[in-house]
Amino acid sequence: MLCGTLGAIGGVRPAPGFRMALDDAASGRGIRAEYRVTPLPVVA
Amino acid sequence: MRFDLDGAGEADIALTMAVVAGWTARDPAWVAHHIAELAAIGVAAPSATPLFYRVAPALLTQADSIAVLGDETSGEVEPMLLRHGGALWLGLASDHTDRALEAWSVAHSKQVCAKPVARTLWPVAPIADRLDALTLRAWIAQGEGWTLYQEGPLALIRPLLALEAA
Repeated sequence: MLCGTLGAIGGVRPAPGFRMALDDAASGRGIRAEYRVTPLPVVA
Repeated sequence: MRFDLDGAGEADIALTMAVVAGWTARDPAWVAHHIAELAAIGVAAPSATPLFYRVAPALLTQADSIAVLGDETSGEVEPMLLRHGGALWLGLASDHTDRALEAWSVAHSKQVCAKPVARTLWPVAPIADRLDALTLRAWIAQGEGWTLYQEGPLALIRPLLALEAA
């Protein structure tokens, strides 16, 4: 289950790359991931 | 999907069901504000809050790139809960969503985009009492660098264990 998100700083907007982290200050550890976004043409 | 189980080795986990919980802000005033904000751009109010959107498990991916239709999609960083081997695990994912489709159907806007997932899972049990203190952050690529895009403690989201039990 994906559990929901936080507000976007500066508003929701597209970007060619997205980097994310979940940090536990008590242990000093974190989970990280990053991905690129390739837009495809919308033909009709 | 292959996960690193935080010191307990790696595991291939077959994902049999995927749910994206929406409208999960802990502060009801914030949920109401968000519904009003989206109503202004034509997005119908949810039938309930929180709302549990089912998506195809095959959308979850650990690829370092996703392909999407058009240029109106964007990521949303989210904590992820996964049941495996009789235990609950915490991970990280992006509910990448098609913003243009949201006005027509939020459920469909979620299903048309792959959901990137981090490789690491932490067992929930040892950190269950401090989940609210964990910090969630996202950055977006802008120009040459990265711009902070989302940031806050999990305390801003409904208690994860209550969502999972729902």
